[in-house]
Amino acid sequence: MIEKNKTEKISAEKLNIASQWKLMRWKFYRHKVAVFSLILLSFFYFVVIFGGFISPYNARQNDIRYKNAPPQRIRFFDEDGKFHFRPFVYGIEAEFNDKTFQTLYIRKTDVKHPVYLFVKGDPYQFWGLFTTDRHLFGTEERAMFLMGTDRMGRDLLSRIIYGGRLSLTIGLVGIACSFLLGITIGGISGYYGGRIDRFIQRTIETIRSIPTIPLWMVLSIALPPYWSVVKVYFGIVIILSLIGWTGLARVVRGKFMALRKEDFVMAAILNGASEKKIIFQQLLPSFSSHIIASLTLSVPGMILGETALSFLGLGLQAPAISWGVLLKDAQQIRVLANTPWILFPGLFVIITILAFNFVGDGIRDAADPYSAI
Amino acid sequence: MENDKSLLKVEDLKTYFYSKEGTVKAVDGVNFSINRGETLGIAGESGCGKSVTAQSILRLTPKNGRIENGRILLRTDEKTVDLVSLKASGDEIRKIRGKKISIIFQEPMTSFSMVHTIGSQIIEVIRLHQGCTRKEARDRTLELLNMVGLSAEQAIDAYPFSLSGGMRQRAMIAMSLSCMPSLLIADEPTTAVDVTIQAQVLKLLRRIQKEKQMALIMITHDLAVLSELCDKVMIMYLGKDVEHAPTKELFSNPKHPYTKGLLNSVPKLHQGPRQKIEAIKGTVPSPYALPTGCSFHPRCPDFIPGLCDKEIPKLFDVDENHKVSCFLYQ
Amino acid sequence: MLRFILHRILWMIPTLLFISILSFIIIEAPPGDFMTTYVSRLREQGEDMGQVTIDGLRARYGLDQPIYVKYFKWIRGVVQGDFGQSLEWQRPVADLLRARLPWSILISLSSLLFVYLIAIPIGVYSATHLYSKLDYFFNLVGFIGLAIPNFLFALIMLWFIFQRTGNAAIGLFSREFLMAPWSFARVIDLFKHLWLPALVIGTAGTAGMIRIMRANLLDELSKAYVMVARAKGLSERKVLYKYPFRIALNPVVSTIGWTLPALFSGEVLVSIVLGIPTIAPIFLGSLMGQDMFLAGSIVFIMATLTVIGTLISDILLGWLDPRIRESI
Ligand SMILES: Nc1ncnc2c1ncn2[C@@H]1O[C@H](COP(=O)(O)OP(=O)(O)OP(=O)(O)O)[C@@H](O)[C@H]1O
Ligand SMILES: [Mg+2]
Repeated sequence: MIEKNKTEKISAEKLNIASQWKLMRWKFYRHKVAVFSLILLSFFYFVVIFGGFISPYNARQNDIRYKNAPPQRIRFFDEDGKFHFRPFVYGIEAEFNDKTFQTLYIRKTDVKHPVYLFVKGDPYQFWGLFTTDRHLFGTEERAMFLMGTDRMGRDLLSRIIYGGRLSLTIGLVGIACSFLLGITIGGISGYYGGRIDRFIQRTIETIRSIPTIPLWMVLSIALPPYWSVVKVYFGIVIILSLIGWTGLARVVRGKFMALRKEDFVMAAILNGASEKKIIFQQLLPSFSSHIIASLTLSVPGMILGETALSFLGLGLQAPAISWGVLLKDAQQIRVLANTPWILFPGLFVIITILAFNFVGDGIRDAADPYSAI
Repeated sequence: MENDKSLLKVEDLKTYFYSKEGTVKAVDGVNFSINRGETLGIAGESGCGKSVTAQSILRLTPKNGRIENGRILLRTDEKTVDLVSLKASGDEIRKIRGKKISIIFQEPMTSFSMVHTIGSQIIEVIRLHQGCTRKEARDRTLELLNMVGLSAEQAIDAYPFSLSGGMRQRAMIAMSLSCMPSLLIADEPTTAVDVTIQAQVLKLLRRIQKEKQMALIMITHDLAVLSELCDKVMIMYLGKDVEHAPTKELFSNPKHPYTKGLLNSVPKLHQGPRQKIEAIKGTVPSPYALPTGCSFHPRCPDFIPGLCDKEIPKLFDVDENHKVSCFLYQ
Repeated sequence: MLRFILHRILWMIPTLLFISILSFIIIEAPPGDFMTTYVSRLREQGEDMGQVTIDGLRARYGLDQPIYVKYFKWIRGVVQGDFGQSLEWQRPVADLLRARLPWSILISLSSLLFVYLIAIPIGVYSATHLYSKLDYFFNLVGFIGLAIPNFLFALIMLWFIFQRTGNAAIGLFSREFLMAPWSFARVIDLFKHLWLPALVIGTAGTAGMIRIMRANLLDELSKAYVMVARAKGLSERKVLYKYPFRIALNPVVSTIGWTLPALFSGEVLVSIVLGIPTIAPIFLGSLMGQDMFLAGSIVFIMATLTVIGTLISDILLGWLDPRIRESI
């Protein structure tokens, strides 16, 4: 009889959680900015996944004809205001000014490069499955640089898309690692309490009192210089999450502490359920929404970390492409002054971080049972 | 004002709250008056607008609330002022707050700032309204704390978190009395403290009220408190005053079906263990969607179809001091 | 109060110990030691050192001893203000720090000041003018402020100033004051340069702080004592500033503990971008050159400074809030 009651109670809890998810989703949808940010992020990841196809050129293809070319626009109307059904870009040509010793690009309105869908261009490997040279859009001749080119004539848009592969995923992979560390350590801390808890809290406090960037910088030089890009990538991930887990561990611990006192956990304990079962069946689902919110909110920190390290030359290094690596080119004020468009990767960093923050905020608000519906 | 003695007279007071979800008519047409030295009890279920009535008198309603209608006439020595006409944060109302009218709130735990001593918070009021020196104000505070039965020397420099709930509520009473107001509004001063303390606090209030000839508005949903402390009673339901009567009369001869229900829903001390306890049927409607007509009609045992759900009853006289807003007594 | 302060100071010791161990691990961590790097660099330049010389140098720098001996030697030196020798600069680390640390501290403190000066008034405004146009505006600016990486913001400002004035806003002094002795004009010149790093470093912190201040104040404003204060007859200004503002400030003060590390982080990046001669550039250099005594000492110093900052904020908090003071 008592047994039956308990199970009923627990399944009622489950029901409760299910409807909680629904309510949360509903609350999240009301958060317009968060929803928009989520869509935008999905779009970014989509573009990155199909990066080889969507980017107009190979990110490493240099072209001495177009060094430091400024961004161009895709046009439907020409100089005379005439409408063209097929969009085009104007041709550009470098002109060396022997007074200022600078190369300036002039637009040649008599040369139009029409923009086609599914054009042939640089070959690339599609997900390592097969090699192809079809690109989503582009011109027949190499002449379209929507975000300009760098000092070696490489198309910045393509480089940003390729760089997104590393920069956008490093946050997620890093979060996965911190998540494991944080939830294990925070869980232990909150579940057992007492001396273990005090020790762990002390450790966390200490780690947090050390400025992260310097610590990251120090740790990053432990990565051997001869490592491959992939190894360095995971090295950076581990370095970032070595510090990133602390925040999450605190959240998890706090939740465990609060939940330990709650009825249904008590019920489960009385019921003789094993501790593991308690943790995974009862504790975790009931605060996963909060965890998701804090996870989302810590992605930006990771992205910032990677970007900063690579910018300083301590993270990913030149043959690898990431947004931080791209921004490294902007370190010299001369370069920056002449080709300000090399800050474009920074714009994407900002947008991505903004979007993650908005989404995280939306989830947090939706997860808060006391927030107005 | 026709009644010479009345100190405060509230006429058709309406206070509404506005939010995204809709309008809450927290107080929707309340009338009462109180004389010098008199005790008025206000009772009713949770959420019927007792606290908002009290806040409206001192113009303390939160920002999303507004007084939509009515007059609140306060007679001071020189003249009579309509508190509704004053600016909510202006000088005039501020000279009344804490000096002419004091209020004790429901929550003794959070009514004091935790980072200032009890003494400093009381001294502040005294100095504000009486412009005396720090020393004089401190002496006066000690006197007050003594009067409410606290060991003054200790309490004055104590922080609120080191006092118990009962002690804090006493300190609160001391603070509200610091300028000898002519009217004290006590908004459920005892709900948050335990039973033995309740009795002490009530006794204290009654003693001081008698001594100082102060008018007291006692808000409560504890009928025992009403019968012990009050000269007359106003019963509220969903923002309206439904019945006014002297205390004895109300308990012996309740008229409004709601009052009857209220009285029936508590066990009476003298009737032994076998008495019937009846809860009022149904639940309080959502404040966003009030019933038409008399707002009590969906729960009323004596509901007259076609009348009660169509028209709003006004206050009818049962006798000179007993008024009730119910069509049964038209 | 004295008891409280003592308690806090004692509380600091294990943290400092932990930090020192961590810093020492950093010093020892890289494969090989400085001599390896040094020798290989000399080789690249065509010089060669005999093994005897190398071993001699190793012994002189104590590179051949067991790790715990090295730690104790190091920590004993640190306590006496001797951080070891920067092998790259061929100077005592302490000398290098002495010349540059004050600038780091100056910049970090100016950013802290900037954060509080901007964030507190805006937080108060936002909380008291909830959902007003400006509230939304500050919220948006805050979000953007949080999203711009420090170094990127520094780059953008550099570019912007360069476009407008044709000057690179680099360093802390104009050229004519760079080597000049201290004078009133030099101080003015310093302030003319200081605002930029303070702004850039402080922006992210400001955004966070505005949110905290706003949330705290909202929390406090809804408490009963606010209405009590109003019911006493206090003016609106006093009702706001004497009670809720004062209490909402406490958590803000206590955030110094994590604001400081963030500011130091920002300082490192921004100083490198803006070419300010703080410890940041030599820190980066020391990492590149594996000059680990210098690198480890810098980490140790920065962490210690944050711990001290946290201590100060704890004491301040205890002074502001009797509940905390009397909780031990
Ligand atoms: N600030 C506010 N904003 C919106 N609605 C409010 C606000 N304050 C009170 N109300 C509403 O006004 C109505 C009356 O509230 P009030 O606090 O006066 O009830 P009460 O009679 O004092 O109840 P209790 O016995 O629980 O104290 C309630 O429906 C409440 O939801
Ligand atoms: Mg109330």
